[in-house]
Amino acid sequence: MAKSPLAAFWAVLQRDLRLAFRHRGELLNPPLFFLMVVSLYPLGVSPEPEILRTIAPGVIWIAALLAALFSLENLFKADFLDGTLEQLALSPHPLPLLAAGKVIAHWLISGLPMIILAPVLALLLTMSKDATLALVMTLALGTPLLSLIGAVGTALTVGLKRGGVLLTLLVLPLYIPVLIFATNAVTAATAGMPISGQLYFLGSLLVLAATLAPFSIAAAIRISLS
Amino acid sequence: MWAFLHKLASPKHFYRITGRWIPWLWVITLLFMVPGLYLGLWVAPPDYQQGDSFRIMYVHVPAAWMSLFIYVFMAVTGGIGLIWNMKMADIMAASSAPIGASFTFLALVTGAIWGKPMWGTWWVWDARLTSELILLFLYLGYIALQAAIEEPRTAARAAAILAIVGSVNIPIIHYSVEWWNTLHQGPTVTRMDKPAIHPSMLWPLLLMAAAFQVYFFTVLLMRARTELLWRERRARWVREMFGNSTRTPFSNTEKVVT
Amino acid sequence: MNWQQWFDMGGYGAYVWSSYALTAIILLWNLITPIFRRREVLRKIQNWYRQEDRLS
Repeated sequence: MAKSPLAAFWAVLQRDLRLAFRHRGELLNPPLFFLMVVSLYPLGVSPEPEILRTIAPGVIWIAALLAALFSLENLFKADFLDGTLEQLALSPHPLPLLAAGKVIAHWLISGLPMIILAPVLALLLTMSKDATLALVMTLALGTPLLSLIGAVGTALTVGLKRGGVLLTLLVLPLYIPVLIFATNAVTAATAGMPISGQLYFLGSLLVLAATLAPFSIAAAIRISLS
Repeated sequence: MWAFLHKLASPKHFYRITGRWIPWLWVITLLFMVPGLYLGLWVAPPDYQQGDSFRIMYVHVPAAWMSLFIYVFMAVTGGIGLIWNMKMADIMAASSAPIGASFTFLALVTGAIWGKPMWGTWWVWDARLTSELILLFLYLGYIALQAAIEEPRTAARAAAILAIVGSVNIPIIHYSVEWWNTLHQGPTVTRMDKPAIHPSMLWPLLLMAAAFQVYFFTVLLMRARTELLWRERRARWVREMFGNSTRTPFSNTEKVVT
Repeated sequence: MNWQQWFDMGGYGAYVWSSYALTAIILLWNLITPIFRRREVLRKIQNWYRQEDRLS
């Protein structure tokens, strides 16, 4: 197998991506979910552009939160069931690094498509150009955060038969700061105000999560395996 | 000191020693609570803005303080259990969760009751109440995770990770909610803007806070001791303590019958 | 200050007393649940011992 830890990290990342591309149908599910939830709002609330513009940041971000959450359920499940996760934990390479590889793969599969899709949704909700740009920027900083934080919860619940609802309970409260700063940045951009403060904050949260989350995920995986 | 703490870490000694503490802890709780209630409800003068409704503060604020304290306590004891593999720490963390959740609930509801005369509605998305609501979610998640995992050791370890991640998040959540609130509420009068609080109003608050603190440790020990008995039911000392009474003639005759 | 005035709390009586009543309920609940749980646990472990005695 891979010799250096970094090579092992790449191996895990590539493996997860390859597996994801083998099930191409499932690959489309998170962005499709994202799109559908957002398009329900004009039907459910009002197609009035004025109202849509006001609620758009929250609508898109909450849809992103839920899409991330549902796609997270399968992050470790298959590997847990077929014993791959145990092999990863037993490997000589640091587990936090391997876990980071899995999380990055998850982000590439579920987070990145949402960022690409976001301008289309912004169009549907009649958002301004500045707001759209802000939305893309906050998603770029925020979706990795969603994957990192969510992976901790997934790792804790992977051994349980019905972890789905529990995962939601554990993870959603931890998503709140991301939601607040991100939607606020978009709202501020709509009003033509600077958003660098919110972006800095999201960025520092991302740095914090990227340093701490892999260790928590690794610890949680070991607990779930025991 | 260390020898004493070491002794406390052993289930048997913990059970014996804390059993002696509990009556005294109740005495201390009452020593703080009775004068706190007397000063808070009777002696302290009405607030010049809020009238007598400010007296809700004497239960609301200590409950809110405790809700935060207990979460951190849970993370710390959970962490101790995780790192040093200490059974007593696991039990402490697990036993504090329902108490913490109840204090959070109390802070939320008394906050809403206080809000009614102050804001005119039961619920306002004010920073303090919102943070408290999120804290309640964190507690419920913790309890749900603990309940979902059957094996007590695994449950304790998983819950400890969650509590630690949660307590790293609490300051971030608190800050973000505060910041969100100032942006959305505008310059509304927050009831907690710190005026120079008069000593006659401050003393009952401090006494009630102390009372809640000691009360927490008292009920925590009660819970922990029971949980300890259950988890240690196979240990000889538990059997020696509670098993003898069952070997009465009655159970002997039963033995003969079967 | 007389009792009547005290209960009235300057018109805020209902709010103040309901808060304190809820506090009392929750403090009592936290006290009573461990007591009941303790009884249950003692009963369970004694049953358990009894069964073991019977088996041995």
